[in-house]
Amino acid sequence: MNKIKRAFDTVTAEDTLKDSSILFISNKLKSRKRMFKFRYIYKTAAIAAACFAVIFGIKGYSVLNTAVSYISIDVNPSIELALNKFDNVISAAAYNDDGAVILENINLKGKSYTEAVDTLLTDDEFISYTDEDSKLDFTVVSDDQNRIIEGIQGCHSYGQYNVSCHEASREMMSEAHSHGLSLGKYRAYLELSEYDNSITAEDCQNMTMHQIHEMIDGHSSHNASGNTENYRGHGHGRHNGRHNRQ
Amino acid sequence: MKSDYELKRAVDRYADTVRRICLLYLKNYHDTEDIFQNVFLKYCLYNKEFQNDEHEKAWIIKVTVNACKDFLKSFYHKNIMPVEAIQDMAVNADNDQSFVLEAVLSLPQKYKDTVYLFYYEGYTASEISKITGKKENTIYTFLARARKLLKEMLGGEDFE
Repeated sequence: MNKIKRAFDTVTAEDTLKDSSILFISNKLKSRKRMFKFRYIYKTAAIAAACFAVIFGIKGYSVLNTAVSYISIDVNPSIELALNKFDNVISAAAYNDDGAVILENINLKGKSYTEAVDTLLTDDEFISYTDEDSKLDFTVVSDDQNRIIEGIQGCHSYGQYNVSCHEASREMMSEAHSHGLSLGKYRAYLELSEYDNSITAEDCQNMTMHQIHEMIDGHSSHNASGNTENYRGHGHGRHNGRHNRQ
Repeated sequence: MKSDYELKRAVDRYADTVRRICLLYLKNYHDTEDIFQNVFLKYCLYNKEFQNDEHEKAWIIKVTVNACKDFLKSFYHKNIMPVEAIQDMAVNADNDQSFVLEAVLSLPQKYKDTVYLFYYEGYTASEISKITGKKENTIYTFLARARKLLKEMLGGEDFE
């Protein structure tokens, strides 16, 4: 063995150096593990939150944009509002030219239904289609029709018109649309057809609600405005009307 | 990340090697402790597999040499200490051995690790070249010059 080797053989790591270093490094590694675990948990949680947001966002988007209730507003302009579960308007469709003209100049989407009703009823264009004799029908399809109707009746502009509120079924709404009529006008047609079966859905398409109600009143001296009623009619005939949708 | 068991195993195996290399570069126990901990912490955080024990040892030596060099670049002007402090760090040497140690440690820095790796660890010039990053011819040159200086310091005695 060379002298250099023998000399360096005397140089060894002290036990205190080894022990203190092992302890120091062990603690360092544990704190790194905790830090990485935290980062992993944080990162995992962040990813999970992002996924949840995406999933919930998709589901949430579906909930927000699924119609669960419908309100048909008919004077002569015929407009149908579709509401989501939060009672907000997700679409507004016109079922005649007059309704289409009104919707071109007004945005009802995103509003609560009461706000939408007030907005519509106070709209200058809408008002121009009404006079003191006009009949305004609200026809509601909903699992909670009473609540919706009460909300409509609580609108500020409600008392400005000769108004009646009606309940209807989803089946009737489907039939109405198949005839090109709004729900409200179709409901009124069905009521009239009970008295005069010569009347067709196509005939009613060009009639105002006032005219339909006049004919109904002429056939029945007991039917008056402002009453809530259920009506389940049987639709006949086929007619595709024009309607514009927002 | 290596386990506590692997850490302890590495310290048992290579603590003396790291300690000796620190002696070549550093001037006091605190600096040695810092480098010592630094080297084994890096070992624990090294994720690649070593080919064999020789590969592992060479890695330890290289990391220790680099750590010491980096340390010197930062603290060289602040931590020059007298030879007596160096003697204090070699606790088990007798007079002759201390004399040889002092002679080696008094060599220019660039020769010290070459001399240690060649004469103590038994590496070839080629292997020392890979560990230190210096050219093989440079290693041969360093060895030749170091031998000449050591012979002069050790009174012409044969130390090989």
